[in-house]
This record gives sequence, C-alpha cells and structure tokens, in this order.
Amino acid sequence: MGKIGLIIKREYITRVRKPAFIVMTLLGPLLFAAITVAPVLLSQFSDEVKTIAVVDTTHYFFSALKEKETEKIKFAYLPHELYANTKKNLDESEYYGILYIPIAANGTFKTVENGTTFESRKNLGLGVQSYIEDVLAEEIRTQKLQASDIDPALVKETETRVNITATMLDDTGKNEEKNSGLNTAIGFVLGFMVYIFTFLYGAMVMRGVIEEKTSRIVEIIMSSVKPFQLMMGKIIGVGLTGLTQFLIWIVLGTIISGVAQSMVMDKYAAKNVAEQMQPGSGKKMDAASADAADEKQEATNTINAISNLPVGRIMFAFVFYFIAGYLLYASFFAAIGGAVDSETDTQQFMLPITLPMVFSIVMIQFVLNNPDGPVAFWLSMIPFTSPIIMMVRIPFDPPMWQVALSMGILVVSFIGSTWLAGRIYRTGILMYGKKPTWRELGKWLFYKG
Amino acid sequence: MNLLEAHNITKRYHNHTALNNVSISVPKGSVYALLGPNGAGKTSLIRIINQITGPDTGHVLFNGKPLSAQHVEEIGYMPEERGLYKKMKVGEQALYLAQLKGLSRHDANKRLKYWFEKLDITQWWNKKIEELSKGMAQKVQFVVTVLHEPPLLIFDEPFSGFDPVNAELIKNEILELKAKGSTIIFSTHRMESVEEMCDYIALINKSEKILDGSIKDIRNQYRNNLYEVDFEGNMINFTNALWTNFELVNKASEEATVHKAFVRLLGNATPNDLLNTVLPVCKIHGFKELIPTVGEIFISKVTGQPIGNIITTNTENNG
Repeated sequence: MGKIGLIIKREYITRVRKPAFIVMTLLGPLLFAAITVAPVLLSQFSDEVKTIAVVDTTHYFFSALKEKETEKIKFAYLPHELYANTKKNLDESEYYGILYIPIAANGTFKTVENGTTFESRKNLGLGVQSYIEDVLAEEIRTQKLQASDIDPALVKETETRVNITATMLDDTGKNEEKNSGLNTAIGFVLGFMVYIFTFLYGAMVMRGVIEEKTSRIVEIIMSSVKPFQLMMGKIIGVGLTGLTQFLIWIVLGTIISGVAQSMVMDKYAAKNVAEQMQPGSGKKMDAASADAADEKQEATNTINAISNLPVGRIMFAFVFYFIAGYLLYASFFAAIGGAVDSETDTQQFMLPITLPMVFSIVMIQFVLNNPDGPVAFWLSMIPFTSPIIMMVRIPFDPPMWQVALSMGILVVSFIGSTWLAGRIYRTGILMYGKKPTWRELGKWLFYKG
Repeated sequence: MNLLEAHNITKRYHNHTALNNVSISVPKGSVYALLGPNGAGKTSLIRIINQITGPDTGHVLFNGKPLSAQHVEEIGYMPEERGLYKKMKVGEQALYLAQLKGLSRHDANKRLKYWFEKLDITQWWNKKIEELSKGMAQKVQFVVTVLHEPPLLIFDEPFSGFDPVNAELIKNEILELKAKGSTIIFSTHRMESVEEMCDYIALINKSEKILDGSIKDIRNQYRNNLYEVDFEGNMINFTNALWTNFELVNKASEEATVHKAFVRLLGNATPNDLLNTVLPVCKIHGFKELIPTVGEIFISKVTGQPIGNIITTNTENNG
C-alpha cells in the first residue's frame, strides 16, 4: 500500500470507529423520519373528541353541521334558552365551546356571515375554525342558490378543474411527460445534499488539519511523506467517511420510508373502504369518487414522471458533483486549517469560502423559476456555485454540452485549487504562534518547497 | 566517509534569513551535535535534512547521492516539539508511523514488541496518548523514531522533557544505537551530554556556522596554556615567584592560607617550569590544566568574551 493509501486508511478508520459517527449514522434517518412523521402521528393520537354546542337561531345550519361531523368534531344542538346558562358554566359542561349563529334578518344571511361567534375556554384551532366556516359558507351558498331557483347540483356540475400535462419533445420526437413540481423537489433536495456534505466534511478536514498541527505530529509525518500527500490523504479519507455515512443513510432511509409508506397506505385504504361503506346521499358519493379519481390521476401522473426521469443521469451527476464539489472546497478548508493555530482563528478565512455556498443556496429558488435562463447558466459554470446549482438544474434536463462544460471547469478548478491550497498548507502547517494575514497567505504561494 | 554532507545551505523566510551558507559534514558512525542558541537556525537545518522544507540554495548529499524522497526511510527524526495523535492508541499509532516510514505491518509489529519490552512500556499498547504523562509519551516517541532502524537518526533536543532517570535511559539507548553503527545528529543545550556523547560538533549562531570539527580538535584548539594551582601558603610569595614567564590570570582564596590561582604559561614555559617555580614557596594541593569545555567555547563564541575569562570564572564559581 502506498503512503497515501496508509493515510487514507487511518483517516477513514479512526473516523468511522468514533462513537459519534456510529450514533449519527444510525440515528440520522430515524431523526429525520421522526421529524417528518411525528406531527402526523401526534395529531392522530393526542386529539380528544371535541363536542361543540350549536345555538342555531336560524334553524338552517345545524343539520348541515351535523352532516359534516368528523371523528374529532361533534356537534350538539343547544336550545337558545339554555345558552346563557351553559355559557356561564362552560367548564362543567361537556362542551368544548359554543357556536352561536345569530338570526337571519330579511331573508339574507349577512348577520350569519359576520355575526357568528364561537366561545370557548381554550383556543379554537385554525383548522377547526376554517372547517366550520366552510360548512356554513357552503350551506349559505346552497340557500342563496335555492332562493334564486338555481339547482345546486347544476352549479356543482359547472365546477371545472384543468390539469395540464406538460411534455417535452426529446430529440427523437417522442413525448416525455414532465412534472415540474417533482423536478423542483428533486433538484432542491440534491442541491441541498451537496451543500451539506461539502460543509460538514470540509469542516471535518479543517479540524483534522488543526488537530495535527496543534498536537505537533505534523512534523513527524512530514519527515515521512510530502505535505501534499498528507493533505490529499486526509481529504480523500474524510470524503470516504462522508460517502459511507450517506450510503448508510440512503439504505436506512429507503427501508424506513418503505415501512412508513406501507403503514400509511394501509390506513389510507382502510379509510377509503370506510367511506364507501357509509350510507350517504348519492351526491356525496359522486363527489367522493370524483375526488378519488382525481387523486388517482395525479398519482399516475407522478409515477409516470418518475419513470420518465433520467434517473441514471441524475445519479451520475449527483455522485460527480457530490465528490467534485467536496474536493474543491475541502482543499480550501485544509489550507485554512494549515494556516491557523486554533479553530477560533479560522473565522476571517472562512467567510470567503462560505459565501459562495450560501449564495448558491439562496439562488436555488431563482434558478428553479427559470432553470435554463442566463443566471442559471452562469452559476452552473462558475465552479464555486456549480456543484449546487447544476445539481438543481439536472432534473430539468439541461443541454448536454452545458453539463459537460460545467463538469470540465469544475475538474480543472479543483485540480488548481488543490495545488494552490497545497502550497499554503505546506507552509502553514510548520508555522506556529502568529495568525497570518491574507497578504502572508499570498506570499506563501510563492515559497520554494 | 561522510554519511551526510550539507553544502552551502541558505534558507530565507520573507523577513529573516534562517541559514546563511551553512555546510556540515557528518562522518558515518559518529555522534554529531548541532549547538547554538535558540533561533540560530538548527531546526531549520534539521528540517532541510529531513526534506520537510527545501533550501533556497545549496544541496544535501546522503551517502554521496543527492537527497531524494527515498531517503526518508533511511532517516529517523524526533522533533523538538514532540507530537502524537492524542486520541489514537499507542500501539496503533506506532504501527501507523512505522508503516509511513516504509516498514511492513508485520515487521513493524515485531519490532514494536521488542522495543516496548525493552523500555518496559508494553502495558501502554492500548492506551491513548492523552492518557499518558509527558515523559511516557516521549518514550513512545523515541521508539517511533528508531523503529525502522535507519542509518541516520536525528534528535532535536532529545533530553528536554525527560526526568533525569529517563534522560539517562535515552542517552544509553542512543549510545547503543551508535555502537550498532547508526549515525546520530542531535541538537541540544545540555553541554555535559555533548562532552559525554559526541564525536563532532557544529556551532551555529545567527544563521551562520561559526565552528565545527571533532570535539578533541576543537578543545585542543581552544586550550590556551591555563593551569589551576591549588596550594597552601602565602599568596604574596606565590605571586612574587611568578615574576617571569608566567601570568596570574585570576585568583581565589578559600581560607587565609588556602588559595586557588589561575596561571597562564608565557613564552616557552612548560607546566614543569611552573611547578618548579612555585614549589619552594608553597605546599601544592592540586595542579591541572584547564582545557575549555564545549560549553565554555560555546559561550565564548556566542558572547564574544575571551575564553580565559569564562574558564576562570566558571571554575571559581564551581569552587
């Protein structure tokens, strides 16, 4: 094994064996899953059934509300005479709150629209509020239509929804279905992963260099290997550590999401069956099945779009930008680590490195709006932003020559940056005691080995 | 035959010159000491020999060939600032560093076992460096330096940080390595160890080499006919007796009648002449030539004081 191989092995093994790494690698996907799943689960388990007393002085709405009851929200009729007393003793009553619908005057519902009140001891959730509002509004609408002799069913029928299927012609003239929402999501997630990986592991390289410098082992190692070998060994070793972690995350994440999906699907299916079993009006059944059909259509669209994605190309580009972006920045991180004596001194040198990365993240939204525009083009050519921005564009199928050019520029840049950083690094690691200025770093570039 | 020759080495950093036209020759099988005040350029020279940095001008020959990357395996280096990975286990770390020096894992393991037993540190194998005391870590460092049995060993301040017992241990290990044929370069401030251990020295001051050669030659070169006479008798009579051919450089009195005199021989006078001259006037307790120690030469060279003054004041202070 060559010396660089030995260094890579050490960097990799010492990091992968650390308890922090193992814990983070195993718990990462679980944490992520917990963050996404927890709110859903919580909302299912914690809510008690809320019974709302309805004082319906108009006698129009209670039946409508009763009809739209859910598992969590029930309605109970409260005669007007009992209103004042119940309000006074709300705490002892079984009611969560009192919905008061004022009397409709002159055949209009103006007073209902603006004068309806809800009184409770606890805050009424926004969801529940809009739910009640919707039911009332729907009922008022029906009433109004009937007052004008218009059949509400007819109105329902005139409601239309348009779904545009966006397709792009490829070179062979074949239509390919696109789903720009899906592309946006994939682009964003992949771009963000490149960002996190570069930052997390770039900083790890920097800390490793500082550790070697402060523990003074660097001089012993320098008597065996060239500074450049040590730097590259560290960058590659840490990079492999990161790749290992991401690989495990992807595998675990797939398993977990698979399990979660099957659980959710079971529930969904059960709910559908329950809905269809419910004896309801024919109208409602129609609406429900229409909705279901819509959902089904959308799901099919998404599945089509996924199967039409250039998965191979995306995977290749992701792995490339993931690694090349990391290599570009890691060499700078290594140079900074070599130039300073402690982590607190790194601040002034970190800014120029973090700036283009943060800028890329900020620009993602902009690029997504116009993935083939000039801003997107230039940002995906500049090597400091291209790993993130080009990754965002990849699902939108940018011209091949742009991808190739961007990759070429990136490769040339990271070779150049590694060379430059190596020169700063090899001078810096043997200098102790003073915090260098930018000017000095510049001079180090021209020192003879 | 010289194992290592450095010719006209100059190394500049942007605000100062670390080495100015320095040349040294290290004979095979010798112990060679680099002496000089802090900041003189010793570590710069050592780093160049280790190929950690390169010289601006000049070149280094190893075994007659220009120094190149393959030579790192023929040099063992213990820097002044000792350092090991704090969080790595002792054995693992030693294996790693030995492999970087070109040893196979198997050989490294075997030799480490030998050295760990020799220095009685076997029980530390699975400890992390941060759990060890400074002196313990230094022992590990020493093992790492010599493990690959290189023909040239370089120790930068090998005794700093060791307690006297361990310093003695390391000194003996170094001498044993020399007996086995290794060539050793070290830099130190401990002049006694220089006298005991070294065959050759080079004195570097303010980036320039101001003196080098074998220790015997240099000391002979700097002897200047100074003798110390311890006697019982009258100081005035003694002084009067030294009327011609001798110079009384310095004197000290321990009691009213017990004295110490530092006398320089002038012209062709011999030590016998001096003895003959003073014998009639006093009772001699002791008589010896004052050959300057390396330390005295070092101070004289660095501070510019005459060697005689330094010797006599030193001896006086030592009683």
